[in-house]
Amino acid sequence: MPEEFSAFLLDLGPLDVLLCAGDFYGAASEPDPGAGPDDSMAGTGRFTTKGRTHEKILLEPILQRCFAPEAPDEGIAPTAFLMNGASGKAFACIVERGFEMVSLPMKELRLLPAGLRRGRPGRNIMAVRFAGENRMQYLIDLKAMAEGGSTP
Amino acid sequence: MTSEELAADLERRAGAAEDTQPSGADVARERFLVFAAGESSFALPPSAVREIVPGLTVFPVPGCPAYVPGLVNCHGKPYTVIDLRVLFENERQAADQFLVLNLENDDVALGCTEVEEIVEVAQSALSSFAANDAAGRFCSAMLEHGDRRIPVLAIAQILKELEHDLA
Repeated sequence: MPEEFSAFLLDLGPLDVLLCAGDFYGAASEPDPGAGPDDSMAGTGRFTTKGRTHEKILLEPILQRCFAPEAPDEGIAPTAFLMNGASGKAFACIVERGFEMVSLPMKELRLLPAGLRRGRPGRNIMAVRFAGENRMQYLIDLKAMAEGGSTP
Repeated sequence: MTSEELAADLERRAGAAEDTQPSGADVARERFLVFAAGESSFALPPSAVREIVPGLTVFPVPGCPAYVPGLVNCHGKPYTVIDLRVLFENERQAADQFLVLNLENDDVALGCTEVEEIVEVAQSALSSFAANDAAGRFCSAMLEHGDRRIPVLAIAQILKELEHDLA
């Protein structure tokens, strides 16, 4: 069993979101040229890169709805994290925040309490990590969110 | 029956009566931890509470009902926080203390504003009631203590409601 795991850490001000780096097979900063008028980083729809079309997941509105992040808009160019869903469908997770790749000890992850784990929160939050007394990080199950078509 | 026999009989009967008379120590009594969440007070058996922890930060968790403001970090472990004021009166109450419950299958803490006292009362001071409001659904009894009536929480019922609301 690995002792550490890699994740993309998104700073949402009072709290952080972790995306499991192993869920993504690549990243892109813009779609293929000439892919189509609705094929862009913005808005809903699709995202085509290297000839492959992905269903778009706009992380920012999801996170705002879930966590009401207070982090200021950093004006950072969006990045598309590319992901294969279990159903074979491809997803592009559009991240419009600054992020960093981190390696964290597995032993610091904590499952949600059993009651929450069995319910809605457990379907989208894989685990949490306490980063000091006043900060919590949420390891989001982005694949479950994408495949289930649901948001927390 | 002679007077002596009569006296002996009376003494025997009195002794027997004393044996069956409940003394103060024999009356079944129960202890309760009484605590406040805002202006409301609640009671729990002390054995239901593992620990009282002050000053924890509550972290929000998406997808939870309003009476679950989030999680607290208690000794490095996440506990689901239940806000009783929202559950009972639909008013949010910022908690500054947390009663960590003694549960086998879940990790739950109740937010509270003050731990008031531990009271010991006769079982006769506990009244059951049938009400359809939150007090009826989430309480197992009403504790009569002085001129106060304090609901005794039915934790199992509250957790059942949470399970239903999270489904």
